[in-house]
Amino acid sequence: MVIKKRILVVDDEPSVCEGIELVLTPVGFEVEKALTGEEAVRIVEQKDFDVILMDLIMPGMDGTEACERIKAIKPGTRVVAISGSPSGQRLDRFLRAGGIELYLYKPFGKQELIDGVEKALRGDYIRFREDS
Amino acid sequence: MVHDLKRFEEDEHFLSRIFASIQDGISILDTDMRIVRVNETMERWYAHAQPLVGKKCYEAYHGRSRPCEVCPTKRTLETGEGANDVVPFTGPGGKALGWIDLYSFPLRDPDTGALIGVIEYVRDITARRRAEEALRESEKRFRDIAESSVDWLWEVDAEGRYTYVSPVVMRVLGYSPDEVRGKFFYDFFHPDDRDRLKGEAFAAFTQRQRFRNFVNRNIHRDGRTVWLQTSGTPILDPAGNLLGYRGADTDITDEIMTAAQLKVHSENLEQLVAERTKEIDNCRSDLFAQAKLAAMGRLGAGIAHQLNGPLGGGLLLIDALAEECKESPKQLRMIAEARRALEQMHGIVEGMLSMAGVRRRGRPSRIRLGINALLDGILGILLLECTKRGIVVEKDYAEEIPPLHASVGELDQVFMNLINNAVDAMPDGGTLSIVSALAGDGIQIRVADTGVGISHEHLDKIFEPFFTSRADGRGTGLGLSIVHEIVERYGGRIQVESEVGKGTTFTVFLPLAGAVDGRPA
Repeated sequence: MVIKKRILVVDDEPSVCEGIELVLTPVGFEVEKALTGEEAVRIVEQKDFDVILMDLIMPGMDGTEACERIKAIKPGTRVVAISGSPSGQRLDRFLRAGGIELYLYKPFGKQELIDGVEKALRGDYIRFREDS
Repeated sequence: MVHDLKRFEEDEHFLSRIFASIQDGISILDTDMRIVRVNETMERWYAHAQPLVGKKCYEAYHGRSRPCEVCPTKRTLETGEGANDVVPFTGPGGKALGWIDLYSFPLRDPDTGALIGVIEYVRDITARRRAEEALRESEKRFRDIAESSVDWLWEVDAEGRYTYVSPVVMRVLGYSPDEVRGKFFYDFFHPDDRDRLKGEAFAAFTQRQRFRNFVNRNIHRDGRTVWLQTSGTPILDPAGNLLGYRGADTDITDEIMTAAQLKVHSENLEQLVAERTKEIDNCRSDLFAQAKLAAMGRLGAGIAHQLNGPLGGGLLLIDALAEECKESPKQLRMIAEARRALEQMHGIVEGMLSMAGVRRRGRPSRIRLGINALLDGILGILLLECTKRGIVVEKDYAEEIPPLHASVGELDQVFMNLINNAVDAMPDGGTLSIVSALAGDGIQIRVADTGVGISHEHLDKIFEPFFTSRADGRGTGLGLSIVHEIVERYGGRIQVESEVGKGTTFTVFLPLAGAVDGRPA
């Protein structure tokens, strides 16, 4: 039996969580959703995920901090940042703090999302530190 | 001897009255130069040598033991003729106190004609001599001053003719005093000023006024201009009639030239300051534009984040919906249209960021897009504005145009800017004409208006960043520079033609081939 890859979506925008779930579930992923950084950390403490799609700017615990904590609990977890923010400064801070694997600019469509998640799973990415 | 003088005694009373009344000195000497008789004046003058009668004249009058070297009496005794000399007036102790004019006359026996004595007639000329000496000294002083002075001293008669000219004139005007004397003062004036200066000078003459620092331009013998500053005092006769003027001229050419140079320097300085001020003004408005952009950038970044979140959600949901509706082409068309609308919104957000100079790491996604549909989309947005202004829209699209591989957001920005500018240029209506056509290996899109037009000087600058002709600060001065940048990004070209009052035409060429390979590095 094929074990489904587990994806956690963290975004304060419900339509994004909903959309990602609706796109990824039919193509064979198991998707869980969190609307805050705190919630994401709680979920990660209990379950393992293959890829976490993490929004950067959220009220309360932001993506940077959430990523840091998750990496501390489950170091092998791959994180794909998803954000509409173009701010390089914020991204740099995020990179230094968490060490993410990929970055997807919002908005993205179905194909971009699936490509991004598969790249993350394959480890087919260039680390941002080198990229920037 | 006494006997020979008897005849005079008859008239003694009468003669002695005359003798005493004469205010010059008179002495009568015998042929031995011994004093026989003196008048009261002599007694007064030579009171220190009294009594005078009986003494030799040189003993009594000069305190000497022998006759003087210069002595008219001596000559009269020798020649029998009258003689005259100026000799010293000697006071007590042989001290010279002044000068006397001494006349000696022979005194003869009326019967025999023999010389029996000498009458000395003595006039005190000390005061006159001193006055003459003072005059000579004064003249010498004047001459020394006139010749050593830096100023040129002069005197003119009532007609303005030079009667005296100090030698300094040679240094000032290059002419000798002899050459200047007899000329009129205005003969040396600069021809341009002559009539005016002459008038002003004679006005002062008729008033008999003293004048000071009268500035006049003269011509040196060598042709150069000499600026003089003249001061003068009228010369009047005792009745108050004007005889002329005398005064001094100072050469102030150096001062005038220095002042002129200073003026030039100060004008240059003022011009420099004006230029710098203008530059600073320009910098300030540039800075203002940049500050406005920075604010827009921050705002844009915020809006981008705010919009891109839900936009992303919407896009994913639409993609998921499309998956659900695979079986219904009609629903799929509607979904595709909705997706396009979301892409367009995303394009607007991107345009905002691009305009604000915020560059994203990612690239706006490119899709195959039909240029005619894109133009129609923009016209749809601006239709209301066109109707309001009474603008007629003429479209001429080529049907067979293949799709471009391009970003909706970027091309939207290009044609939104061009069409919006065209509408803006026609506040009172006109014709907006949009033409698309295949042109060689690309597409040509022409946006033309019949509006106010762009002046020739502005035409060169319209693609420069921050250039705006809008005085009210509404324009960012960025619209056309972004258009230019995007068109170049696609390997295309943009041209503009305009005539003030007639309208403006922008022509954009986008290559089909270049666009398919994606964005150039």
